[in-house]
Amino acid sequence: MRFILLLANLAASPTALAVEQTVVQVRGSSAAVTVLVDDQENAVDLLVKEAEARGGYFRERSSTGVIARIPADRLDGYLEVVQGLGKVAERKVQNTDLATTRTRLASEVATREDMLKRYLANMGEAKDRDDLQAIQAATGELIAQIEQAKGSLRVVDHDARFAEVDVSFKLRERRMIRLPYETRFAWLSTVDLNQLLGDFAAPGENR
Amino acid sequence: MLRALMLVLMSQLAIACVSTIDAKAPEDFATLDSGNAKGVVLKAVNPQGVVYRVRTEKPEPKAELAFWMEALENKLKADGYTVLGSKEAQVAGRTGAMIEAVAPLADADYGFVVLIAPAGDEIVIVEGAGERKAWDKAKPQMIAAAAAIHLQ
Repeated sequence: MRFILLLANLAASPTALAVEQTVVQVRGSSAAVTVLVDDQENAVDLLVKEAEARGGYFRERSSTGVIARIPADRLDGYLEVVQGLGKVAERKVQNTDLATTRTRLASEVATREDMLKRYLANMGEAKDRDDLQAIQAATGELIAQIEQAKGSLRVVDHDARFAEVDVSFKLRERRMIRLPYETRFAWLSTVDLNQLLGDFAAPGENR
Repeated sequence: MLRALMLVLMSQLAIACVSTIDAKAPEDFATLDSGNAKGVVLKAVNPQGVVYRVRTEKPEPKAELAFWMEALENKLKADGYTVLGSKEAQVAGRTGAMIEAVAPLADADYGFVVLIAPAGDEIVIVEGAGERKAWDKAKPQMIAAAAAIHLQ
């Protein structure tokens, strides 16, 4: 019981919370771009290669787009490649200040590591089984909290190092043309996306 | 003699015409009323709005599958589709062909897959279309359903 009170005192001790707080410039960048292209598949392949060539990687890829992580200092060059692929329909670039989050997490880690050290240093004062169980529970919880905060810190650091670029490709609009030869093969003219979708449209609905 | 001739004629007719097509909706698709449209055997749709239709047509002139595939590819390209590719595929338990294309429609890009196979003097046509991402996901189910069509 005496040790449980000691733990409570340590946790509340002002010295345990006195952690050096260094604010550093930490910034996360992300971009979302929609580009009109003629060939989506080739555009996706090219952006995956470009991401890798710049020391980045792709997080997701599909037939119509790619989400890439690019070293932040190479983001501008990558966006130039993206925009060079076709006509840009939409472009959003966003910067997020990660400094506050990072400082808070670093502070959490430092505070809890300090508390852990002091718990362990006072371990010798445990007099009975209850004291030992209390110190085990307290240190176990602290270690879990430290690991969780360190994990979040790694994510923030990664977000600061690698910008996220979400690129979607749409087909460039083209003029639909009809060739005279179609009429020679009547059934071929029935193979048509508009006709197919129209066959499923509710009465009165126009596509 | 007359009876034998009748039997031969009947068997020839059975080869020439597809009397019944047993087609089922692809996995995760719901069957719709086919309506009275000529040649339509099955219509189905999935929750993402990808549509699937099975029908037959009598092609004129008579020609091989390769001829129709080339003509279809040319037609789609001429209409403004981007043809992703064409290849041999199983349709209704026989060797048929498949062509995949995409096209812009309103604000979205649509995928369009067409599978065809000869069936006597007719041709079985399986079509699947939908918004590109949903279509990409549903394509394997549509191709599997096309292969599983049963002709009698």
